[in-house]
Amino acid sequence: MDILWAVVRRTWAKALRRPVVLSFSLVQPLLWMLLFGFLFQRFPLDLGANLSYASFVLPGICAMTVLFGSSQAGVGLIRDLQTKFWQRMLATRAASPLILGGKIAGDTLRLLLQAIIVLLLGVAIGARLDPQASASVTAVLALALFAIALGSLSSLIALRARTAEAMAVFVHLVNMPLLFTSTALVPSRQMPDWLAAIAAVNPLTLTVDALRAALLSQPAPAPLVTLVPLALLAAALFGLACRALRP
Amino acid sequence: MPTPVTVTAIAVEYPGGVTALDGVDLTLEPGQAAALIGANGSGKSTLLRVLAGALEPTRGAVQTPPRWMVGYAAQDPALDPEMSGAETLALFAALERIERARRISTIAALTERFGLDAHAGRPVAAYSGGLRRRLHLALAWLAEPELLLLDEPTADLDPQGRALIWELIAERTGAGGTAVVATHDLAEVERQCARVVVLEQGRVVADGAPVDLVRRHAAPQMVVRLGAPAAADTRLTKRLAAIDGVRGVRLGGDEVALDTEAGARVQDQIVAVLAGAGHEVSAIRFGRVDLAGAYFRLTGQDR
Repeated sequence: MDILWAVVRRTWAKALRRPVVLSFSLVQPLLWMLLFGFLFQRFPLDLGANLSYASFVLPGICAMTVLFGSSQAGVGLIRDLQTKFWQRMLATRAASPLILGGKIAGDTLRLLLQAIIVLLLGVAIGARLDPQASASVTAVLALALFAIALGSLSSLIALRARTAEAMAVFVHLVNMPLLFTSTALVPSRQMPDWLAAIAAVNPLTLTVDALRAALLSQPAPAPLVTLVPLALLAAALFGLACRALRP
Repeated sequence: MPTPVTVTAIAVEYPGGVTALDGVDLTLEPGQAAALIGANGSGKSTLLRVLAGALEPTRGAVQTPPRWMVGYAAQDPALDPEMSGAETLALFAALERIERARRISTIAALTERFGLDAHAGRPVAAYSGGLRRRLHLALAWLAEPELLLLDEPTADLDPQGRALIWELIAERTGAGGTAVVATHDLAEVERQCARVVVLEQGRVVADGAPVDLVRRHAAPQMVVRLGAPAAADTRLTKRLAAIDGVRGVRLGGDEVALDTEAGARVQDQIVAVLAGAGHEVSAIRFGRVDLAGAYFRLTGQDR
């Protein structure tokens, strides 16, 4: 725990020293919310009774904050690899999975906090919530597991590719398809059948649906149906990232 | 019980067919400080990286203590510019599993010893080259390693910093540890290290105590500068070598290098022989009888 906490603290301290990046990561989701709001406001979307598009999309925007933030985890790792600071940390008595775990845990905690801030800002600009407390634990766990999975994938790419350019390609290659094949922006019942089938197994959909259950009291699958696949995905990707730590 | 450090017939080939090490054998006993000396690109840093476990040799075997008992300071300080010195030390104290109760006192002692106490709260980005080097070395020292590997540790350091490095090496070996240091600081090596390994193009060309290397390889030399370059002249070479007290002669360009301990006693005879062959002498200097002299001789840089 001590090692994990030391690395988490470092990750937080570094994030706080980049206020511009931090504030941009809060502004960006809200910008998306407004832009998608303008785009879809006039479309006849079947969102459910008395639900504005802003309210519908806010849980999706919170999940997007985590999606885009996690996929940036590898960028910091590449900086550490280039300065050899990462290799230096791995050469200590600490087990290397703990070091990587600490970094991903630090990023995950930061992103959860950012998602909460985005949620509050979303409410401030007009979204209306209908919270369901009993679903909130599943929602937070789903969001955390999703962040761990994406953070691990991003770290895996960073450890294998070791270039910032590869990370940029990764962000577009993974984030965009994940976003547009999920229910983050539109409900699955209005997707073509083939897209709805993909959306049903998309980890972002699982996360967004859990958030909508907690924030909008919308129906969602049983907690285990959401959490088990996300936990398996996070464990598998973290395991692969740990394997990539070996020289 | 400290582990001896042994490398057997190791070779390292980098992509592109560059051979950095070629059949290096080395055994270092606990309590020994060894210096690696050699020209840039001779393989010193590569050998240290192999000993640190940071590089797998292409061939050969390596036996070192476990990696967490090795303190390795590479040539370029590996630091995070956004963190302060104190934060960096605190992070590594946790990673090195130093007991929580001892951490604050350990970090305070380290910052004081490495001259970082006045700068510990500043970000590393604001450090001078010397301060970065001090922090870099403090991290290698933090866990009191059994094997200390330092690559050019005195680069960027002021005289006090340099003295500290040699003090640390002596302290480590005094406690039964082993230290290997790659350096160009030959005068300090001669004073501080019990053993010197000379590398040339990835091979060990000499290995022994500094005093032995000087005795074997740093023959007293007289270098005579001629007024004009001389062509190869076997007769002249023989005549110079025949002078009593002269053991060897090398004639090249506008210089004649003579191995001799006789010094000024034979100087007039040498000048006379050269004048007889039509050569004007413009200057005479005496070569160094120290580790630097041996090193230049071993690496062919004495001509």
